[in-house]
Formats: sequence, structure tokens, C-alpha cells
Amino acid sequence: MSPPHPYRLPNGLRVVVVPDRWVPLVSVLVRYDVGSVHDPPGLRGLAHLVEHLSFDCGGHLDEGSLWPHFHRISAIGVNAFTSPWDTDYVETVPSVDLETVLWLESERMGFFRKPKPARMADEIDIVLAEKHWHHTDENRRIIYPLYEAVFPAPHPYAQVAPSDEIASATVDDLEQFVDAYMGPGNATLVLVGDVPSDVEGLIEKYFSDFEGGSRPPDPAHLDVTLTSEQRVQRPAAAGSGPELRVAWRLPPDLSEHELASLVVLLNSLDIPDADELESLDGTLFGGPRHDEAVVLTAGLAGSDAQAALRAITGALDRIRQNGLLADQVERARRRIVAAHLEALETYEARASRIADRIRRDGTADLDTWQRAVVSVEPPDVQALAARTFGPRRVVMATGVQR
Amino acid sequence: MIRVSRRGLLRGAGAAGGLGGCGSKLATWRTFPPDDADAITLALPRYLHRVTADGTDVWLAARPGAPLASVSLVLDAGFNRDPLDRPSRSWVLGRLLHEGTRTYDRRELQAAFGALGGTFRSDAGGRALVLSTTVLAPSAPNALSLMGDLLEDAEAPEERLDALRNTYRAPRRISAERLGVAATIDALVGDRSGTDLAPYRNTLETVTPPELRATMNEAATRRPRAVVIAGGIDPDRGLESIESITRHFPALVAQSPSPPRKTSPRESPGVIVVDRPGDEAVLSYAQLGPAVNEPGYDAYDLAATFLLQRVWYQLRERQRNAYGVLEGTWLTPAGVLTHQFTRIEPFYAAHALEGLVEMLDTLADWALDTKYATELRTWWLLNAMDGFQRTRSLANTAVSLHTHGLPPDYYQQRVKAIDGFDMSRVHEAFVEYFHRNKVQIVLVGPADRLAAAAERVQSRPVEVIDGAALARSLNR
Repeated sequence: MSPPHPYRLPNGLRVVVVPDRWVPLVSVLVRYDVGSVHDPPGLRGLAHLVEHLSFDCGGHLDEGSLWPHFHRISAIGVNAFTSPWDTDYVETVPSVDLETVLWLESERMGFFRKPKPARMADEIDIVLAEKHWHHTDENRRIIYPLYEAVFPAPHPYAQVAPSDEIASATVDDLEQFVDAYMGPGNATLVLVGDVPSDVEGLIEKYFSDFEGGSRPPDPAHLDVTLTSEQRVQRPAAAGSGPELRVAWRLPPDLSEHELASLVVLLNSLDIPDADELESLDGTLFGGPRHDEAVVLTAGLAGSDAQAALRAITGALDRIRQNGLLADQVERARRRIVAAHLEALETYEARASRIADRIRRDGTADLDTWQRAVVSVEPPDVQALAARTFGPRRVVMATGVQR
Repeated sequence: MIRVSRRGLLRGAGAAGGLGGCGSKLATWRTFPPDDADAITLALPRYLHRVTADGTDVWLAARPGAPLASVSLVLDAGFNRDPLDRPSRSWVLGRLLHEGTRTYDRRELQAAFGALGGTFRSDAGGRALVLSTTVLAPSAPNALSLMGDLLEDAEAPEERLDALRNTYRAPRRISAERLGVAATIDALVGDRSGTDLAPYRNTLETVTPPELRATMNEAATRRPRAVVIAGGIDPDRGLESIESITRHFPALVAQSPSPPRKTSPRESPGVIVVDRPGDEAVLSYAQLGPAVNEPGYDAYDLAATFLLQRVWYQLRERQRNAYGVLEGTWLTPAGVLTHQFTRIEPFYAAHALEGLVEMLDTLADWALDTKYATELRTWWLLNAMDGFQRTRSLANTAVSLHTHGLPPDYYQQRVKAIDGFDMSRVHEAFVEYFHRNKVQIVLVGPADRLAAAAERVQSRPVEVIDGAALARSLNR
């Protein structure tokens, strides 16, 4: 099956439609290419606040909120997310209700409603409550300091932890942000599922009669990098034993094939003779156009973080010197492909992955990743290991004595 | 495909409720929302159930052309089968099955599943021990064969058993949410087996590899035993292929059922405060409801959903609690426990608790208007259908049908039942299960700040529990 082709309306809105008839549902995702790294100076959290208040949008809603309409059609998975680089609105509805959702999302896009001061103050309270939750969340207690070490200030990712600055936001701040970025020229609409044959006409009907929205400039200091090894120590998160995390920044020009080689390496990493390690997992920290950091997380059998670090470093050295065996690579390729296919099973997940893919290379071809993975050979992994796992890294121990 | 009528309620009720004048003849497409459809269509999976010549139950949910298949081998060996003096033995067995067979060590076992594109899992629940994986669809028969090796050849190496013990010997901080679950289960059930809170220390410390192998041998031959395959498999050829594999499984023999586990719930659950110093607090409420295969389950489930939505609204919209309330269900020896919980600021505790009790007190009088009931019921049905997009969920649902003794068309029947549901039954469920004297309320957090809040809820005894001691009992 040929991949879906993104197209644009005259006002700049990028559109992707992926028909699938397995269940009579449609997932709708609207992504605005603006996120928390684009918060104005002194107003950290503004993109997040806009995301919250966008449920109050709509120039034609008597109740001033999208929620009663989502409830009326029993939409499921109605949610919104603000990440460092974008803001997503997502919902899944019966296919017969697609037109209603297009109407609602067009209300949100085209008819931002200035909140009354009391309403804005209420929502600021909720955003600040989320901030409090984030600061007490066990995983974030670990992840925020790790980000801040891997992306040292003044890198914008060092600012991802929520702050109180949003308390001073005004309605004018909000309106300026929305006017600049929350329009069709800076948005992507993705529909996956049981769409009607006239779907493109419906999209044009609801989204072509307003304009605006431009991509925000990239924040400064994205090129701030690690200059030496950094060591960080923190208490363990509740429910977790002692752990060791080792993180590296990724080269900014990493190709899709190199990224696939890295994931094959992470999937094959096994340290059979290291009694210090209870488990070992690798994860990537995604950026707008490519992944930007890799983190190895080891559960420790004891509390000897130094021994665990030596075991991990030794394993990576061996891969740099000897590579992986062909059957290790083949197994990893199969696992990664199966995991990729499983991650695409729901319409909602596919819509999100398509938006990611568009941001990455402008296409909606989800098979790109699969093709890159199956083309990885052992020498590719060896070369990637040599390029990635250098001495400039962050070593973070949690729940250990030293 | 099943059509579920909206019975014209949405349009009429919506307009009456002030939704922007829906249905007005003067509406333009930009000013007013499109008309609502009269009915929505549901597509639910069709499960095929057969019993092979060797006596194995086979459940298939074919999704032609799907690239993946989920494979499960279901053994009648869950927590409820554990001997009374060996609680959570099946949990230990489930963990040790990852560690390989006499043919494959643990790395070889994972490599063998990895070659099929999958990862091997084994988990003990209340009613079954389930071996499972999701693999590239053509490899489904190979995955089942690999699981067959575990039936005859399971190994539980002493050193891996020791490693598992060490994991649970190490003291770990316990989250406030987990403490709340533990206190709730202790109060309502009095037996933590059937939950994944932690293994019983005595069983973990004293169980031996031969005992675990004997347990596995017994489980492998006990009827009913089931194979579940969901995803990209041809139903006819799939059945043939499965039967050619299961005929090599150990023969099934008749075995006497285990005695039921005895539980010791408290007679009158009150408000429990689990003392955990710090700035975090969790409020939870829970009750035991009927099992999926018992009468009244549908009404109970809808009532729990209504309550969840109502409390969510109360917390989020009226008390500015950012994340509302979450729900977990636990299959305990005493029945299904529904546990709804939220993180709150300690200084909100009294307000949140009073709001919750007031809601419980007025549930039976709550007028469930038909518009709201229809929206929520439709939402419930759509969520069920949404879940069936996942191959793994298709398989897990079949596992649930099998372990609860439900028919293959259970979901089709249930949709019809829910579609024609009499809301008076939901009111009955409120009275039966959600009365304030039947709901266990637990607050976790700093007792010096929470106990006073709990005292303000009249007519309920307040018990303060030492959170550190409870955490130690969880052993991790």
C-alpha cells in the first residue's frame, strides 16, 4: 500500500488522511508546531496555559467550551499535550461524528476566545497544580535533573521543568501567543480511521476560511553541548531500587539509518557476566527533527554504581571493537519491527506517529523506520557505537550510597 | 457490525441543554454544529472457540492481514489455586518461568522468542497463570511450540530464585498510591494474594525449585487449559496448526479443585489514615463488586463509571485538582475490587473528603438524566471498541472470557444489554455497593494534617496506620 501523502490547504494547513476500516472510528489529531521551548522570556508555561484554555475556544459555542460537545458525541481519548516542540489536540470518535469534530477543531483553530480574567486565573491555578504534581512525581524527580545535566543551561531543554512564572501571564500575553502561532499556517491535521469518501471536502469546508499562524523561531542555545563527563546523584524514586543512568548527546546530523543502528544496539545490549546489573534498558530522547540523546538505565543488584558503570562501559567498548553477531542483529531487527507495528495498532497512535514523521522529514511514510531497521548490518552498529558513546556523558546514580 | 441507537436523545436533549441552538432550522454550517447521527456503529471481535482432541480449549480472534499475532497459553494456576499455606506461590512460578527451561537458559529463551519478533511474558493472576507473547504473525505457531517446551521442561534455577529473593529483600520506598492500595486490600479482603502488591515473604523465602517444578507440572496438566491466538492468523489453518502442536503437550488429567481461599475482611470498614510524612497525599475509596460473570456486574460497572466521572468533575472543576481521579481494578480472592484514587494537596484533604462522602450519601437520590446516561453509555461502548484495535487486547479479552467461563459472543450480548439498560439498576447498584458504610476510604499522607480531616467525616471511625510498617510489610 502506498504511503499517504500530506497536502496543504491554501492557508498553509498541512493535512494527512489515512483511511482504515478495521473499526468504525476516526482519530483526529491537530498539531501546532509550538511548544514549551517557545515560551516567551519570563513566561515559562505559557504554551501549556494556551493548551488548557484552548478548550474554551470557539466563537459559536454558547457554553464557551468544547467539552459539552465532546461529551455529546461521547468522544473518547479527548486530550491535549504540550511538549517542548509542539502542542497536540487529539480525540477519537465514531466515524459518523467526524464532521462534528472537524467543526469543533476548526472552532478551536479559528475562533480563539479571550478568557475573562477570573477564568484565566482559575486555569492558571490548574496549570500550577500540574506543576506541583510534576515536582512530586517520582519519575520526574529523576528525569528533570537528568535533562538539566544532559542539556546544560542555557540550553532550552534545561528549562523544561515547570515554573511559577505563568502566574504573571496576562490575557494580552495569551492573545499574542495564539495570534502568532496557533493558526493553520503552523498546524498539521491528521485523520486516521474510517473516514468518509468526501473527507477532503469536509476538511476544506471547515478549515479554509481563516488564516494565520507561523512557525516560531528556534530558541537560542540549542547548540550548547556537553563538554565533559557530569556526575549526578539523587535519592531513589519510590518503588525503585538503586539505579544507574548513563546518557550521551547524539550527533546532530544522525541519519535515519544510524538511528536504526543505535536502536538495534540498544535492543541487543546484554551483559551476561555482570552480577551488578539487575536490568538494562535504553531509551531515546526525541527532538523535533531527530533524536537528541540516548539514556541507558540499569537496575542495580546492589549499590555498587562504579562496578555497574564499568560493566556498561566495557560492554560498549566491546561493541565498538568487535561489533555484534549477525544473529544478534537479526533478532533485534525482528523485535524492533514487531514493536513498531504494535505501536501503530491504534488509530490514535498512528496519527501521532504520522505527525512525528512529518516533522522529521516532511513525509507521512511510517514504513521509513521499518526499512531503515531491516537494512542495519553488524558493521553499521559498530560504526554507530564508535560515533556515539564517547567520554562526554552524564552519569546519574539514584538510591546508592556513593 | 452492531448499530446502537441514540434514540434521538442527543439532538433534542442537546438543544434543550443550550448547546448552541443545535438543530435550529436557521443554523449555518459555521455557526452551529452538524446534526448528530441517529445511531453509531460498533464493530466487536468475533471469537472462535473450539476444544481440541487433547482437551485444550482454543480461542481465536482472527484479524486477516494483520502483521502481528498475540499468543497466550492459559493454565489453571492463579493465586486462587495456591495452597492456603503457600500464598503467592503462583506469582513466584510466573516470575521464574522467565528464567528458562532445561533446554534453554534464560538468555536462550528470550533469544528464541526474539527471533520471532517477540518478548516472552509469564504472569500469575487470580484465576490463571498466563504465558504470552506478541510476535510477527507467521511465527505464531513457533511461539506456541516454545511455550509448550515450558510446560514439560520448566526450570527454576536456584541462583535465579535467590536473585528474585534479593530483589524483594532490598528495602525500597513505597509510593503513596501503593500504600493506599495495600491498606484498602488489607481492610476489605484481608488477603493480598490475587494482587501484585508483593509476594508473601514466607513463601518466597522457603519455596524450592523442585516445589516450583511440581507446581508447574500440575498446572500444565490441569483442565481447563487454553490456547489463545489473536491477530493475523487464518482461522481454519490456525486451528489445524494449533492442534498439531497441542497434541504434544502433556496429557490433561482430572484433578480435584483447590479449596477456596478464606479471606478475612474487617466487619465495618471505616476511614483509614496511613501516616506517610511529606507533602504528598492520596485519597482513595474502594469497594468489592460482583465478578464479570456474576449477575449485577453490568450495573455495578456502570455505577462505578458514573461515580468516577462525577468525582473527577468535582475534583477537577470545583477543587482545581489537576488530574482528577484514576481507577484500578483488582481481582482478589473475595471478588473484584474497584479502587478509585487521586492525589490531593494535604490542605485540601478535608474539603475533598467531605465532598466525596456527600456524593456517596446522595448517590441513590441522584437523578441520572437520560441525556447524561446515554452519553456515558456510548462512551463506555466506544472505549471497549477502541481497545480491540490492539492485538494484545484482543488476546487478553479472550483470556478473560476463558478464565471467567464466558461465551465467545459475550461482548455482543453485553453491548445489547448495555444498549437497553434500565438505569434503575444503576441506582440499585449505588445502594448495594457504594453506600458510605460499604466503601473503604483511605487517606495516605502526613497523619498530623490528615487525621483531623478524617475526623470531620461524621459517623465513621478513623484508624491511623503506621505507613513505615505497612511499607515494610510490602517488602520492597
